Amino acid sequence: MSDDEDYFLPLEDQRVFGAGIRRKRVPFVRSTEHELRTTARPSSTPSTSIANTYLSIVLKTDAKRDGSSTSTSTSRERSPPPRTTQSAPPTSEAIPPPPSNNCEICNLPLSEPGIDSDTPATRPHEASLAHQVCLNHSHPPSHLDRARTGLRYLSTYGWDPDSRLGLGAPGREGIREPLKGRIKNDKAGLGSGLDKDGDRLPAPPPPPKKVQKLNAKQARKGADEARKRGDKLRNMFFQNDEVLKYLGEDA
Amino acid sequence: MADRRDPEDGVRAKRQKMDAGDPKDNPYLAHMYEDTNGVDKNSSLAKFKRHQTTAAMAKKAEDGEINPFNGRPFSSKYVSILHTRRDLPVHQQRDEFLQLYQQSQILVFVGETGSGKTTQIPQFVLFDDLPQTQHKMIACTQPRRVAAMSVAQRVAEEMDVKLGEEVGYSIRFEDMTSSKTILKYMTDGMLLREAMNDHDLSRYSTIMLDEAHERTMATDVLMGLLKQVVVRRPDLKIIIMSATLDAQKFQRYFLDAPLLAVPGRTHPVEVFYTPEPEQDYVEAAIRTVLQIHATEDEGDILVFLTGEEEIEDAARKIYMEAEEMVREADAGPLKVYPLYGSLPPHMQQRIFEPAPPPRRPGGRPGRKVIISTNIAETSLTIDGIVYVVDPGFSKQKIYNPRIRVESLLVSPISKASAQQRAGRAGRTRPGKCFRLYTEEAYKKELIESTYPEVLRSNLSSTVLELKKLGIDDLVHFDLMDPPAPETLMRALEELNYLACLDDDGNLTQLGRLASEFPLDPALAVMLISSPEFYCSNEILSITALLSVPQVFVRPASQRKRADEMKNLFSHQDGDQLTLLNVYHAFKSPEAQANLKQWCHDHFLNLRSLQSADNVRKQLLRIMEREEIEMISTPFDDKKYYENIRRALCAGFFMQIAKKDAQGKSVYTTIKDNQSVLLHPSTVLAHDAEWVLYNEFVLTTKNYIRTVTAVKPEWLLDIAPTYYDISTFPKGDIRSALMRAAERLARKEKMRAEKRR
Repeated sequence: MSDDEDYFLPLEDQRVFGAGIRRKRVPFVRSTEHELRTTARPSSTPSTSIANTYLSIVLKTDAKRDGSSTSTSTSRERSPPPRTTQSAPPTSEAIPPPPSNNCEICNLPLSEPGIDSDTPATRPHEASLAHQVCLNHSHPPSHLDRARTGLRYLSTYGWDPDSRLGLGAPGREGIREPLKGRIKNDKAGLGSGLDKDGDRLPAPPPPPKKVQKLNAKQARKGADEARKRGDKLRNMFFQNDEVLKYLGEDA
Repeated sequence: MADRRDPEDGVRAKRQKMDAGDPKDNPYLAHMYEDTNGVDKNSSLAKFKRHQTTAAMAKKAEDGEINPFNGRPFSSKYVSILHTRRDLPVHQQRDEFLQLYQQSQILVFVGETGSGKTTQIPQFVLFDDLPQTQHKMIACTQPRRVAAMSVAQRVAEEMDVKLGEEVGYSIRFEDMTSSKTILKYMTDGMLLREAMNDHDLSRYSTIMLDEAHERTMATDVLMGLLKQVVVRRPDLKIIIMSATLDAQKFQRYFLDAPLLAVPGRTHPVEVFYTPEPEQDYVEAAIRTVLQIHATEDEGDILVFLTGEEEIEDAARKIYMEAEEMVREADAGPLKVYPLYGSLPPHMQQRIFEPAPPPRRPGGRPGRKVIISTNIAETSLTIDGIVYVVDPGFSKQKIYNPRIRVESLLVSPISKASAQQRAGRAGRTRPGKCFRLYTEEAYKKELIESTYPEVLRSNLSSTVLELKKLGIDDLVHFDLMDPPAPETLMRALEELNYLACLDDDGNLTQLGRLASEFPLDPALAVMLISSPEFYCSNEILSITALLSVPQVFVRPASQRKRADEMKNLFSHQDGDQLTLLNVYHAFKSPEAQANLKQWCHDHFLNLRSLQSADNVRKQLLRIMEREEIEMISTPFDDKKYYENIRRALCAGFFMQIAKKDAQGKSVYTTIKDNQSVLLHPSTVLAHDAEWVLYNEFVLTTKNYIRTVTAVKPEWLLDIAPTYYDISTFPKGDIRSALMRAAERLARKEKMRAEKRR
């Protein structure tokens, strides 16, 4: 049965010894070296975790954590590798922080180095909610089918579907999505679907259906139909190619 | 585009050079010789210098004995009209207007209804711009044909000239101008058509866009276009005329053009709201009317409802209730008039009848009630209205590019609309407006102003027009409200499938030809390709019939009889062929002998048929000009109707529905996969597998209206790119198309073998 290899059973259900050669247990011996180099050594300084290294590279925290006025100029460059030990708080802490101490993105003061020294870089300013909210987000691409000829035409004239801009003269762009209409089938007056605050009320639930009494024949017919529906559903499910494959031909 | 025009320009330039022997004879240079400026020396305009006149000078010329525009003495009627004209509010500001007009190239003019702007401003301009000296014209656009005609008529009277001479009008399918014309009223669509062949609109010295606040498609496109033209033509002056306070938007759009506002002659209107939302706005409207009739002072009532059916229903109910009030409570008589677009003109005229007199001397005064769609909101002015009942809804067009369906939906109006409606109550004296919604709903539910047409329509004919206007960069074309990208993409794709645009989006020969027709591109393409199917005469008739309002009349009281009469004309294969039968019968000597009687007997709309006849004539003229062959298959040929059905496919292959495999008479539209039903009005006798439809009607159910049975083989043959089977998802439609392709291949093979 070559299919056996595709067979997957949860680990605990696998029998150790199966029938046939392949199911024989393969013996292992212990390595001569007691420790593998690839396994992580339990770290004595949790602050130097790979996450922090990564953060310091990507989020240029280091330059800013110093609170120096040069932070803006160096912020574009790649930051130097992180320091594992924090130096004593700089003297500049005592005097009011220079304007550059505010983050240029969220306009909030950068976190105080004094606090940082206790839990270095665990909560860098860039990870704060306020900062994240102020960041320029990249938006998911537009849903438009890129193969459409209409889109190709617009693209040749410089319209980018992902730009989240409408058409029109620059600075006066129009709507991005077509207007939507709502079909009104009743004579309800304006505002009748709203609550006191002007919010839309959910549609009222449909009136409960009257309980119908069936005679024996109807009941039998109903039961028959229900059974047929069940059979049909079961068939639909079990005749599915993937399910069959999973169950094996015999099932 | 540009390369096509260049040689022409060259020729024109050469010709001018040859003629230039005596520049004084050259009419194009007339403006350089002011003393012989084409105006009679004795005329009161002889001393007028262009763009330097004043209101006093114009007044003197108007008060003279001789008409300065045609040299004939003024009639006595002219004098009496002149007096009423001078009472109009705009007249007070003639000097102010002239100064602004002379100073700037673009002017935004705001005048409320009743200020006289539509009739007076063009005449003010005429006395200052003196277009006759330039051999140019003044154009004043109107969104509606009827307005263009009636205003031109009125202004011709005011100026004491014959309509069609100095003052004329030009609307689709009718041109009432001559070489003498200096003031031309026209629909905005007509001016746009003219721009297609004359990108600089060089025939005009001043262009006025009236009723710009209505934001029709053509007005919006014209504004975008004129914004470009004024740069190329510094001598062209533009006046944007609007009726609403929205004017700042126009001002901003036209780079801070100066604005002149003239107050209308309106009275204060008191506005009332309901404390709670209404459960049924029609019923609430009826009750409000009766309440006004019972409790309020003398004065007529205007009620806004959404559509014909609703209006007729409400009119009947109000009439019955009012009768009872008269009988039981001695109320004054109440006359009810419905008003909607499809109402015959003589019925529409009745709304101007005076209110009924009291039933006996000293009795309670009578009143009239007009129940109208929103045509009474801006386009029609009815004096005597004191009370307005506004439920806050109107039918509005909306286009969904994803399923390519344009539909009319009952939607909440805008705040601007609500204000406009209320204003209708203050025309003659202080009035009252009863809004059938809460103030809260007014503030929160209503949008500021109604969306312009360009955001609510299919753009394929507009895109074709823009391409013909030489505007290729549709992305940055400066419309006041640019449409959604998806809508524009759809239009480009539709035109590409119709072969009006090639794969790179360039106008094709067919597209250029199609743009010559004032029709939807699908109809134009159908018309142009009809000679290939040997039935251009018939397709021309069908096109004309599809361009006019419904020809069949079906009064509520005589539905059965009307349907019987319709069956006389019906063709089992579809409604388009039935329409053709109607037209042929209409042109028969029997019908022509007494058209009115014949149409009445057969439940047909005479006006529609006559206008179809007129449209057909106009289109025929274009077809002859473009040298499109007019042919017919002999009527006794068995392919007579089949050829017509094939030709229909050539234009409407994107509007096809296929019957579902199971489920009776449910159809699915091709590519858009919408479930639809055949409209009950169809004459299609058999259960056709594939049908072509003219219209998708979105109501409680989805209907397709005006349908004809077609065959999938024709579609594969006529529109192979659209019916590329590989692009269809697996399913019923794909397999049906594949079967059709096989049949087609087999037939082809058989034919090839026979030939061998």
